[in-house]
Amino acid sequence: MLSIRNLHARVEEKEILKGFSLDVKPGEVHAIMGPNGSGKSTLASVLAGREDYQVTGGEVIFEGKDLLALAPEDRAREGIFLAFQYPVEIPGVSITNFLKTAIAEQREYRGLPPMEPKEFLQLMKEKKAYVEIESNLTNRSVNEGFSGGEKKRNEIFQMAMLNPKLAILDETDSGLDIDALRVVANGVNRLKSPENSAIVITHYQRLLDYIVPDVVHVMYDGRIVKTGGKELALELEEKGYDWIKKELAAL
Amino acid sequence: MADTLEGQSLKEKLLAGFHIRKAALLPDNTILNGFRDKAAESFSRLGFPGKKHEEYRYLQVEKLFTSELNQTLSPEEIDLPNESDVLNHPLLAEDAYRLVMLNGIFSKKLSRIEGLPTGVVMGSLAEALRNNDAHALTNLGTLAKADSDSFLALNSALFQDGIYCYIPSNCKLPKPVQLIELVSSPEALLIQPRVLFVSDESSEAEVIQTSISTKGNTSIASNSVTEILVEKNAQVNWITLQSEEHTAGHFHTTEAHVKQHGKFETVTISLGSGMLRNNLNIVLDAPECEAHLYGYYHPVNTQIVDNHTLVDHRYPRCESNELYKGVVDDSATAIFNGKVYVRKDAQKTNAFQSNKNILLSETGTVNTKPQLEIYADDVKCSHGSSTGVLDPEQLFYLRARGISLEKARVLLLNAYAGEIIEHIPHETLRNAVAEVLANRI
Repeated sequence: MLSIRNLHARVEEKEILKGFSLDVKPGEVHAIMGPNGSGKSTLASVLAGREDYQVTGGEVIFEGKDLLALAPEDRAREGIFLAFQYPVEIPGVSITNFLKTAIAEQREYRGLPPMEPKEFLQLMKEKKAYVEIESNLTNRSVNEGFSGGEKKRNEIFQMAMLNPKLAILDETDSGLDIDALRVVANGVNRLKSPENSAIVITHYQRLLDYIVPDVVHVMYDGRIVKTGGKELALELEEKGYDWIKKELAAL
Repeated sequence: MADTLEGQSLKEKLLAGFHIRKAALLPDNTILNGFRDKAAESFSRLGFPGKKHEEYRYLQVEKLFTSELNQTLSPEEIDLPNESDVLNHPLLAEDAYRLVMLNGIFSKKLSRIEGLPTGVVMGSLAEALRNNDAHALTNLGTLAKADSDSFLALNSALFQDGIYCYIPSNCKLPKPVQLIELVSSPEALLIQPRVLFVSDESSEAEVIQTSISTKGNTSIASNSVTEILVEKNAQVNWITLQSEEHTAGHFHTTEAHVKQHGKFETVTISLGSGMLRNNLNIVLDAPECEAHLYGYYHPVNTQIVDNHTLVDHRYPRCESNELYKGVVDDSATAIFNGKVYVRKDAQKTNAFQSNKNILLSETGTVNTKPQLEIYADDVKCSHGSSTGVLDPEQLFYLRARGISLEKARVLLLNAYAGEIIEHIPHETLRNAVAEVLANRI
């Protein structure tokens, strides 16, 4: 589904991604772990299409299309969903209105008829339950006055509503306590299917107890340096990122 | 201080016209004629403000008040615009009393004033003066002092007719009252609408002052004056909607005085004419009264919107609160000058003011100047002003969910305007205004 080949990217004259490669097939959950500064957030930003980042080499093919040639809204409409690490507040724009607009634009792009209001309300009700969101929360403005945990849950709620092919979770666990983590992970797990995939970017192993990955990659200095099964995450937890750095130095 | 300019030919024309047609203007009433004579004298002395005049430095007044403008002095000379333009307008409130002026002349035919509560007077200002209405005669010209400003002087000398409303003590108007000022003419015309609104002690009223223009070739300039008296313990909500794309310009002066325990809340929505200038002057003329001022403006193309406001705290323990927000597109210009005076005896004043602007294009201009003059020493006052762009992080978030850049901007601008529109009490009107604003983007 997603094929990243030798991706190089920089921000403000500094090269962050230095030959990043990754293949994700439908139905797979890939975890990307790494120390601070390894380029994890840059990867998410470049895939979503943030304009501050320049791609200086390599390619990204998503479902046969050149992803880097698409505008951010088209990448989303093609089926990519980025769950932000720091979701921004948008006072005055209600969550309901926001999602209604997003769904309408997505369906128009895909040549589908618009969703009936009744169907939309039903969908909202159903998906709120995934992340244990109260009914009245959706009348509020997007993320306004939300705690960290509420913001992350709202990201997963949106994900459930938009039903993407590829979800990129950018440090979704940062700032969450165990209960919030459990709720968020449950939501993600309920959305798993053989047709869609996820890239879970995280610093800590803890999240991976709940969202069990098929493949674990370790990222360091802008590229993947080690790949393994879910045991790799546990090994990292035990030995720390220094272990990886030492191994690389020894090569 | 008068700083006159070459545009004196219009000034001379207007003064000459005044002397010739004085007798034909309004009722032959010695009190009123004295009033007009003094105003003409003031206008003769002051003239139109020139480029060096501090209060008008960002406007090219002479571009609007040119000698081509004709002052029509009798109703027969005025080309009345189409009635259907009034009756089909999106900003028309269905369930409201309606008073209509066409090119500054009151139209009884288009107005709707049945079922007024006892003691309420609504209708033609000229007629009220002719009938020696006591409240009209006592209050006309007392809030808008003709000797202080060229445009007040000009209007006071030359206005022909207008709208007059009197709300008696303890009366709570059951419906809002909409004042509609429709301007339209194929010729270059200078019109001078006048409004006098008196809300007596403990009364309550909601007013929607709506200025609209029709499509077509118009080079109309409008110089309007509105006087509003909010008596003790009265509450007036005044919504000003300015949707005059097809006029050359509109200078709109509002003078409001608020008495003890009175409350005056005003929302001004300005959608730009060629050159729109609002002078909103509020005097808190007693202890313990309140004024809330909200404004929203969105000039496009080469339009200019200039909001000059003044809140004058003269007595202790009054509160004022002001928020003006604007969006400037294309090569349009927005000007904001908000003055707050807190006089020596106005202790325990709370006065807050804020002006926010968003520039949507690189060729738009914003000039903003808050001005606080505080002479009392036990007060809480603040002011702030900012000019920026739409938040790029918010835009990206919306796009990352599949919403196009254009649609994302619309969502954000609607949210931005929402903070002002929510102060319009009338729900249907609030929605109508929101829709008009959304279509503008």
